[in-house]
Amino acid sequence: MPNISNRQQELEDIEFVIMQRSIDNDDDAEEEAMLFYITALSTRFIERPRKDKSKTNLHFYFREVLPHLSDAAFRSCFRTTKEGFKSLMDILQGHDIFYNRSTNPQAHPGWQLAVALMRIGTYGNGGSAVRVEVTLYLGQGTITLYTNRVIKAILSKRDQWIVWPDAARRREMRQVLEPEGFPGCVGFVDGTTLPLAQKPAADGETYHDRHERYVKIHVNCIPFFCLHFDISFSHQFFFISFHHRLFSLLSLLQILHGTSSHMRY
Amino acid sequence: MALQVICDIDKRIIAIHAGCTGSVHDATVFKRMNVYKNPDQYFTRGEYLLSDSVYSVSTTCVPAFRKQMEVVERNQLFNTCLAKARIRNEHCIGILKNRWECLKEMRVWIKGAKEVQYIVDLVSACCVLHNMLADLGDSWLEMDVPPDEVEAIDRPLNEGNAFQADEVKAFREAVQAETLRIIYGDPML
Repeated sequence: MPNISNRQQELEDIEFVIMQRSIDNDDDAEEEAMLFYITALSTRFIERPRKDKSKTNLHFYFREVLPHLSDAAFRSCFRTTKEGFKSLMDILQGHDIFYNRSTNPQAHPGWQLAVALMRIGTYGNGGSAVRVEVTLYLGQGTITLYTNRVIKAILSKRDQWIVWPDAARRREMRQVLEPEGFPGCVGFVDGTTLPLAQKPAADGETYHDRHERYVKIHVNCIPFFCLHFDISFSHQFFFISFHHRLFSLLSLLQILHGTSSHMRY
Repeated sequence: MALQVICDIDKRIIAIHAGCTGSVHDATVFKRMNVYKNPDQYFTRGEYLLSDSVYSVSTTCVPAFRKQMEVVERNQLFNTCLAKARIRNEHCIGILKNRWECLKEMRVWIKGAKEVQYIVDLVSACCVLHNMLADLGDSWLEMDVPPDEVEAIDRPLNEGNAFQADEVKAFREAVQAETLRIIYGDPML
């Protein structure tokens, strides 16, 4: 079903009124309705009046508010010290993505970095676009745009910053670790899980991890699903997860044509 | 979403693998990494990585002994030494997650490959930032170890044929003997 916006609905209603009044030959009333029509037509969103969310707000914030933040407040907001922030800016601001050929230049790369750091360093919905919009008074689309640009700029430096140590550095590490009993050790491996707030729409079952192993699986809103072997405790869960995988595999092979619905559950 | 981190003694990240789903075992993720697949490019002879007990033994990865093997005193002593060295990695992950707190709970609703790609990009960016700031000398002091340290289910993974398994086990025992000799002096206790 098509989703009609409030503005569209309003315009259709007024059109109807105008038509009625022109049939009635009531010129004054028709003119009045026409005026409404034009007003509605001239705004993009009638439920969201146009506000100034231009880069001037960002100017104000970074000129007037940021320099007066205490070190602790700066650190808790941008997850680094002021010096660290400056160095990050120096590393990233040369990137092409922050410059365009338009007569309307982008916001300063440092400001874009600040918006991105603010979002990345915040837990939960504190980093959502709406929260940052309220804080910085920037448009939501702008905030997403800045974050994505900064992420791209950072990723372009990835190969310079996440590097496997060369032979000399490995030797140095082995020397440091020798008194601790590991003269051959050059690094440490570990895995960690990054929890999702919501179960994914696509293949949600495979995202379950081992930490939620006691959760009954038929409550399908749990963020993680793990594939584990404690069959006595939750064989039901084991089943769904396996069936799911089986299903994906078989449907790929296109041999589960008629039986898929009852195979799955 | 599972993230695999290899870090060095200064808690800098030297290799990552992101993008596997949460149901994939840590050891399986490690086996998908290039470091595991082509060890010759990354290690010279006798070099190895340390890991916790869920990983399988190989010539480039020396895990701790599993719980049931800890009854032997030698293994227990070795595990203590290994844990002391390996704590750096737990710190590394703790710093990473506490500094970039969006990693503690990703509020992205995965609908397809696009969102997964976004998460992978975000996580990689966080790791790069971690390294950049570590290099700039801006250390993050809140070293909470994440509540991740539940002992995993010991699931024996497929370790190749019997001959190989013997060989890598011998390698770990050699490492163990060396460690015990350095720390406690007496190889046979």
